[in-house]
Amino acid sequence: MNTPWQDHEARLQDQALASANADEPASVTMYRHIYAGVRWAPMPALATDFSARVLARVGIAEEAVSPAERRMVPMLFATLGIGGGLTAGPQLLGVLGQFAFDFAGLPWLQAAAVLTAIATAAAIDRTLVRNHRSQAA
Amino acid sequence: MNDDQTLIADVINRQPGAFARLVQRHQRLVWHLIVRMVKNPADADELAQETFLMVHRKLAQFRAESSLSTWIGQIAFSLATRFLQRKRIPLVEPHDVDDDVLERISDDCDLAGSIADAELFGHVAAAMEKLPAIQRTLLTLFHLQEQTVEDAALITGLPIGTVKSYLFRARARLRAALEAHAGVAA
Repeated sequence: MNTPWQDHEARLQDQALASANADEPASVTMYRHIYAGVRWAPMPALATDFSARVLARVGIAEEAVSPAERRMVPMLFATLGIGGGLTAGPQLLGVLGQFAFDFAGLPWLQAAAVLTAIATAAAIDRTLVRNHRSQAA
Repeated sequence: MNDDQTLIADVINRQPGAFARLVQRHQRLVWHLIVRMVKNPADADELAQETFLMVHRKLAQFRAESSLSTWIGQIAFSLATRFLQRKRIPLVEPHDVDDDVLERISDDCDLAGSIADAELFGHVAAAMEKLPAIQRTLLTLFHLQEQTVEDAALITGLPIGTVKSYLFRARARLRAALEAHAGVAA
């Protein structure tokens, strides 16, 4: 992974250190050799096309969620919102129009249905995106 | 804005070439860390790619609580750890054999006089292969990547004292292995 120049520099540095520490105890010399050994021990080389392959996979992952799918999600949310509003709206307005809140009279069932539908759509969307990414990866 | 922040902003804003720069800048750290943990270059290559895919996905969540290289190192370490767990390869040894090693090493062995440099590197490499994955990885982070003990602790999620202890034990084991070889060679 190192260039010949870096190797050369490091060896010069090691030689300089060795001569500077000629009187050091053998145990210190040993640890210096261990440091050098760890530093210069053979290491499998990283493939030269590594970054190109990573960039290709990142590109695939980005393309995995198509523009149509991206548009579909907000459209689904909008449809659910409008549908929920049309279904529960008149009853909500009627209740609000009475000034006195009658909690028992609120359309709880419809509201719960709309919220459940939205949560389910969001969960499906997330799962689809995750699956696309893992397939692309 | 520092260099890391500029690069992160460029990647998030999809500036051409920004992610390639990020990969180029950090691939050496990721590769060294993973290859020392999993050993097999093909597995390491796959895990290194997964690391950068995850970096790309989660970069917007990076909160700059550490340097970008430490954060990327954490992701690489976490993926490699999960890989070893799936393969049922222990990160640390189930029983600690280091204490025996520490008792065996001597203070006055003239290693330099017994083994030539080139030969020594080969023996260090062979001895490193026998270390537990966590010790190999910490040695690499500290001596090859020149990460501080604090950064190595952040990357591995270990306390600083534990990192120092593992480093000490790893070096002691390398020394013991080399002494044994020097004894044979002499």
